[in-house]
Amino acid sequence: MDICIAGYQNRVATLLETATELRLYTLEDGRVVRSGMTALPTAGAASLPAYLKTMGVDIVICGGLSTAVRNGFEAMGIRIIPWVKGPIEAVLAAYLEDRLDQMIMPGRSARTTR
Amino acid sequence: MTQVRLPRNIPLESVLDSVAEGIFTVDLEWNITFFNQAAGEITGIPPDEAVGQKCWEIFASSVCDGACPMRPCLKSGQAVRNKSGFLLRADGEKIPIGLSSSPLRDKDGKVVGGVESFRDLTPIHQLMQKVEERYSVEDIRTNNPNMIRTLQILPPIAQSSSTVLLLGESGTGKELFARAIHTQSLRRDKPFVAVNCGALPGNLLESELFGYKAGAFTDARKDKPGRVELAQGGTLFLDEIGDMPQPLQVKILRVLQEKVYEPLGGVRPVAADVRFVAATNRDLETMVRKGEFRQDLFFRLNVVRIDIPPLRDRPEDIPLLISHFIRQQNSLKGKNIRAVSANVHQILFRHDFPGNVRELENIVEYAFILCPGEMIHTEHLPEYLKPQAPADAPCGPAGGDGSSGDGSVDMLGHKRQAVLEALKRNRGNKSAAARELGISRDTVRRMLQRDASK
Repeated sequence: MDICIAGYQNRVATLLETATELRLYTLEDGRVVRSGMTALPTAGAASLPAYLKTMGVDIVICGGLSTAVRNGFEAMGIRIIPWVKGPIEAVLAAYLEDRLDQMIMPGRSARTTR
Repeated sequence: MTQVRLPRNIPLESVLDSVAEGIFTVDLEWNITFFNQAAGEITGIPPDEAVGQKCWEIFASSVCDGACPMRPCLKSGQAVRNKSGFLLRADGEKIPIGLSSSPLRDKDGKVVGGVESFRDLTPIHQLMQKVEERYSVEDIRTNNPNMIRTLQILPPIAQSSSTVLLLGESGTGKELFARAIHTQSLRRDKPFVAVNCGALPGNLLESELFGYKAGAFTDARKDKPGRVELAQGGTLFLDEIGDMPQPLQVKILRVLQEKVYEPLGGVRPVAADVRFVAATNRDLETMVRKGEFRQDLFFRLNVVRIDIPPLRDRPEDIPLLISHFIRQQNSLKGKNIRAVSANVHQILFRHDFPGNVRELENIVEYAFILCPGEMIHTEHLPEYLKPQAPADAPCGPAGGDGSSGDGSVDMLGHKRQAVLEALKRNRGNKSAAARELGISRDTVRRMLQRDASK
């Protein structure tokens, strides 16, 4: 399974649209077996769902994202976990240990936009 | 400069909580130390949840990652004014904002944190968008799975240079799609020029498209640029392409194939660096079969084809669009209408919208004229929508007395009642009543005349 964390410097970007890097991880048996990084496509966040679909990404972990972009991910069959905060390594560890709900931005819910 | 201090019995927090601008302060570690009421309302985060958190986790704005105005402000000790951006509410709604930052100093003049003020620019943003007609993919509001899939392929389509053919009934938003394609394309900084091919007779349309040279015909005293020239480097939107006369179809085909055209009276071809987006509500394939539309032009246009479904096939979009148009009209008309009643919802869901999204927009605009309260009720709808609909609860102080004994609604009665109530509230001042209702003074006068003649 492939996951993507939308980052800014070494933390999750506040918004998906202001992310400067997309960290990609391939997971097998609950471990990271491959990782990489790519930039946001030039067409911006609106083109991200189709872009990540072609890269085989199954789950996107990000900060805030607009309803329109979120709809796009859902249409592409990509699961989205929004409003996540914190250093990227800590977020990845939290995801692997199934405690990502502790890393949601205050006042938001990971399911807020749907 | 003399410092003015608040009287001791007035806490600063209560002053800050009374202003319409969002205000928050941070310490040098970017922890929020104060968050006023307006900040809570604009962001959707209660102040008590915001205090103590990192500012970017609460503020969630486009400036937080790399463009924060507070950072240079704390570094230099100088205020930063009038930056713009947007923040994202917890419900996923984008709010355009204007913001300013200033350093906070202790009594020794040492910078101990910063204060940021921001205001919701949604009304201005909506007005600007209406004037500039600059729309993006995110301005196409939909919950329909087919439409969402279409929107997903729109950015790569926009980034290509391919010709796009938009098919859909009148009022489905073909021009909105065309503008979104232009805004998302590499040509976004160049003009977007729209031509309605069905609005002009053939010869006029030709000179409108290609322009003419001085002396081309009797009244052509000087050169006139055509729309193709005006769209140079940008996008030319050919609306109602199915109505284009056949002789002109050949000329447009040449522009598409050879990227050149000749203005009327011109002696040499002119290069056309234009991206074409065409649209029609007609069935071009049938027209091709009947010989009414050139097959070669159809194939040239039909490189990327986008079918926009009618509103009756995507009822899930009706509530979304109603909310959007209410927000838009609130900004444009300065009203504070919050929603439509359950009965209105039912009526709109049953309606098949032959005029599509444009019709829904017009219905909301019409209701805004008649509704002085916070909720749109059936009596505020155009008459054709509710011949047998029961009237529901009145809207604000204006409604109520316009329904007849059998429960059906007398629209004129309601309109007159709304006018009379508005006049009463404005002490007989017709201009003020007209302003409140968002109608002209003449309409108020006509309503009163009808009332008097009864």
